[in-house]
Amino acid sequence: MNIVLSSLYVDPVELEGWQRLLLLLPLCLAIAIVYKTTKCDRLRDVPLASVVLWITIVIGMYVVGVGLFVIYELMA
Amino acid sequence: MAAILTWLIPGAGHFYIGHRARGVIFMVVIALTFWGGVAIGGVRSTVQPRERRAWFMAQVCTGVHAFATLAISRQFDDSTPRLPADDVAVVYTGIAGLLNVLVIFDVLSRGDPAAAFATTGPRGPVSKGGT
Repeated sequence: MNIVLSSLYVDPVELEGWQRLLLLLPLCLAIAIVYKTTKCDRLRDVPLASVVLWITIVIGMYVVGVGLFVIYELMA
Repeated sequence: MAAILTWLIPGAGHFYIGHRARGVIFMVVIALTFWGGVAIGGVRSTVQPRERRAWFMAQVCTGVHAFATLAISRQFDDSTPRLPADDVAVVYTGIAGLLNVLVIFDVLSRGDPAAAFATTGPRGPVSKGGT
């Protein structure tokens, strides 16, 4: 276990295309939580507001990505 | 003072002004984001002041996390080849720094500690009608 953890932190992990797309999810969740924690007056509102913002960001980013991919394919 | 504390340790400024729960959220989320990025990219390759100067400016906004990564990376000898970190790792650590900039502005907007304690109490905001 320690060897796995230490190698994880020492050497870079090689990522494939779909793995990069999946790593968008936790990054967007972190952004949503921090942003909503600064905006919400009551902390009990933060979880729901963060999830809504998270879904909005993820869907928006994937839509933009698919749109750019389609434009790229059409121009190629 | 609270802003400097937040830069050094994300979330510490909110502790200082009495918003402890908010401070814990910032502390945990920013630390997880930063060290998640370091886990992906490796401690030797993710924070590079010379090779990725613009990203380093963002990473250093996490304060102690970026300095700890730099200090740990200096512990390794340069005899083994240093593989380049994936861009995802650099983005994770850079975004963590930029999120901390947002947190710094938030702690500045919440005012001085005396006012915060007077309106919210040392354990964070209280319900309406409280003192």
